[in-house]
Amino acid sequence: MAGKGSAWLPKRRPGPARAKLKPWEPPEVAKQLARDGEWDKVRYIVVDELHEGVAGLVVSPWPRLDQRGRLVFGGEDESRRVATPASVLLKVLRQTRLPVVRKEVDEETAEKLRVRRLAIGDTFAARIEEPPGEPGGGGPGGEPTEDPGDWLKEPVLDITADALEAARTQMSAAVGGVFGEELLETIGAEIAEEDADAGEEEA
Amino acid sequence: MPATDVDTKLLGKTGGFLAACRPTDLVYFTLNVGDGDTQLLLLPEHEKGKRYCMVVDCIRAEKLFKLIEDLADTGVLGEVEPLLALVVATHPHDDHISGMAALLRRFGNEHIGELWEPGYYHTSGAYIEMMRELEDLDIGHLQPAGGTTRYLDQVRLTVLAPGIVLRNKFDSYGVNINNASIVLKIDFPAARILERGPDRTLMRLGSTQTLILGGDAQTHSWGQVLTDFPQLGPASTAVTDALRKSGGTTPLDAQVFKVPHHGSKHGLNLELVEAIHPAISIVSSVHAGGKYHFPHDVTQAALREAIDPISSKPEDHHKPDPELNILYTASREVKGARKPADVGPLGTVGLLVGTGGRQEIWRFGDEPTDDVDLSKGRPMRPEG
Repeated sequence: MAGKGSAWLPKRRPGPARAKLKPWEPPEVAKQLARDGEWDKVRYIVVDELHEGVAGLVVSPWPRLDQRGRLVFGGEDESRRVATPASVLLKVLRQTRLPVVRKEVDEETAEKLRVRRLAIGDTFAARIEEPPGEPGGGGPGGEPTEDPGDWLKEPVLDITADALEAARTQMSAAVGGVFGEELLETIGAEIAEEDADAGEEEA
Repeated sequence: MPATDVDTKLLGKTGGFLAACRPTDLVYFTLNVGDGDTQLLLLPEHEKGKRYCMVVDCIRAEKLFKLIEDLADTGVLGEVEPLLALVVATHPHDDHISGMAALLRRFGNEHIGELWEPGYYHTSGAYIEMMRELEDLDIGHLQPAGGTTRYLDQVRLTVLAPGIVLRNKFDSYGVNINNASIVLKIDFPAARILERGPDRTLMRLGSTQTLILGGDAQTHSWGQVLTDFPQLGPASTAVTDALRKSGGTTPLDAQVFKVPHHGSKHGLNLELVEAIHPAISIVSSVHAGGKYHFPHDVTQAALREAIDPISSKPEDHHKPDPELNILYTASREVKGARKPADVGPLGTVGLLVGTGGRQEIWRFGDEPTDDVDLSKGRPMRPEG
């Protein structure tokens, strides 16, 4: 309990109340994993570290969207860290991975996406059994769990492309701000003006 | 006994930490948070009872909050805005930033001066949460690269990494997330001008102390650092001496080295530690291995050899780590020579860095899940 000397410090502030927010609903994830609307059973799984054949995963609640369309995951205690042998995870993924990409790809590319090697930042959506691992940051670590197949349920959607887009969007908004319809119209008008000038010069 | 453990004889009596903190000290805490990093620096008082702080990485935010509250309750931190002059998220790994969103939310516009992060985006929930909170703040923000320099009162910060070449390869070209780490060099005291009435004198203080906080930078990044910050010997000629020029520079020489990446074998090499030649090295990791088996033996060997070179004297053995001031947040205190009994954790490291070259090491006996109890601090004295 903080004493009088620290009364000037700002108080703890809770994060957004996730329960009141709607889930993030990428179409393929909704179709494959949440047809019953039970988004709480879906997890957001990130390959956070690859080291010496061990994959460090962070398993978070499925994100929700705040009023401005931003992803909300919750506090650090709501995510769990799981370590697993990378080769075993890859083996499980070879049987369960379903790549989600926005553009049409040919069969060869689709197969390459399905069996590609792990990379830090790879992100998956899946329903799971309760995973092993440590809640929150840090922790005593412990040995990697033997088989992520014990807790990952098929299918495992590879949503890396959407997740990268979401991360890049949030970073750009945080550091450069956002703009609204009005500025978009101004930009559009200026582009049209430039194009018209260029057309006149060519003529 | 494991090299990370410390004999009880090296520890002083409990108590006295607060009395030992001098107003002119820079106070540096490496919190025992398990496999991850949370660091708090209290800058020297700029007026009576007023210290700005820096936070470098944050997991287990509640543990950090409690420590800051206790430091305020005990008068070490007085009311000042912004309390956290600078917050640094070295890189977006979960074990460095999982508590950052809570920190930004709590301390907000009034109590955070600036946030630095490397500009390397990551898909994790912790990263996206941190950046969402940043979007809601109106504070200074910087994505620094090697060479960036910032003065905070008597403390000079220099960003050693990521070098600009690495920075320009973020996004598409496979820079490892660890190599995105912001590596900070902290020089203290940085003020060099003595003012007596109208007289000003440029002082060449021999007591400036340097801390290098290594993030999770790997040897690829350190290689760039060695290029960008060359160790230059003095060019001593009659002319240069007369002009007081060319005194040489050893930019990587440091008294305190926060060992990169929890003691990973990719976090340093012998030449790097030789260039730094730290008086005190600190490793933040779990005890007895953990999932990545940090700290790695080869890292410990490089640290020992750089500090206590014996390779050309094969009959010699390195001194024990505590004597070399290689400190581990995961250390256990043990008693007895033959069958050492576990007394308990040594936990969080507190360093008092003085203006005149003084360094004091304090340990707080906390497990990763415990709060830091300032009244339980014990000084650690190297043998011999």
